[in-house]
Amino acid sequence: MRKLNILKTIVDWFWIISMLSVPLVIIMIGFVIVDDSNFGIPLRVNGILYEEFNANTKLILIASMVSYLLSLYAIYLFKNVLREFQKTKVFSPKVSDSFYKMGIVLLISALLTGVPSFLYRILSRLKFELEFGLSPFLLLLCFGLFFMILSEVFKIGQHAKEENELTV
Amino acid sequence: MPIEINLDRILEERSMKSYELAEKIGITTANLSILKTGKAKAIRFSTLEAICETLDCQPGDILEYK
Repeated sequence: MRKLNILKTIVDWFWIISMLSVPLVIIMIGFVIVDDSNFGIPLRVNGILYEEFNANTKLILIASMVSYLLSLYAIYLFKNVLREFQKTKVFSPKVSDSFYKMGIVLLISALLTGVPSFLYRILSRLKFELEFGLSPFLLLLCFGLFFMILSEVFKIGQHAKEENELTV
Repeated sequence: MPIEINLDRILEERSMKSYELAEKIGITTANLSILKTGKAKAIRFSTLEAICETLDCQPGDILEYK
């Protein structure tokens, strides 16, 4: 359980630090949307530097922002799952439900990150680029699907546990 | 479930209490209650054997398919 405690501590710290950044990011995005300015501070979201602000850029920025908030929600769910593990409630419906929700949230987050960034690259640079390697889009997509599979595995485990408990 | 447990009837015939049976066959009263109420999903051969031995009956006397 020592490893679990270490992981829980790391996730908790990451969660606290992320929560501190949320109001700041929301205010910043609000200014960008309303005022069309970034106060000279370079704004980089998911590896893309936003220099000029028009309707398209704003939409992409909002999508990235929602994606970021969804990722934070996924971390919050993960935190809850780790808490359940600490209580040694491994095969509970809460855990499998949380894994499923995490999967869905990460999939949506991946789509909100990947599709607008791809479109922005095409629209802003007017050229088609191919990028190889582990992109955040692919990683998030894989994690999302992995968590959904994990949810199914935990449901099977939950069923087995229930059967074991009801075997006399 | 179409399989019914007639443990209550047999216990009454033998004038035995549930906790006595649970004690003799080495299971908890909670587990015996699960079995009696039909909530059990499976029964171990060892448990069935112990029940039959204690109550001097056949598995068919305890389990009935309806």
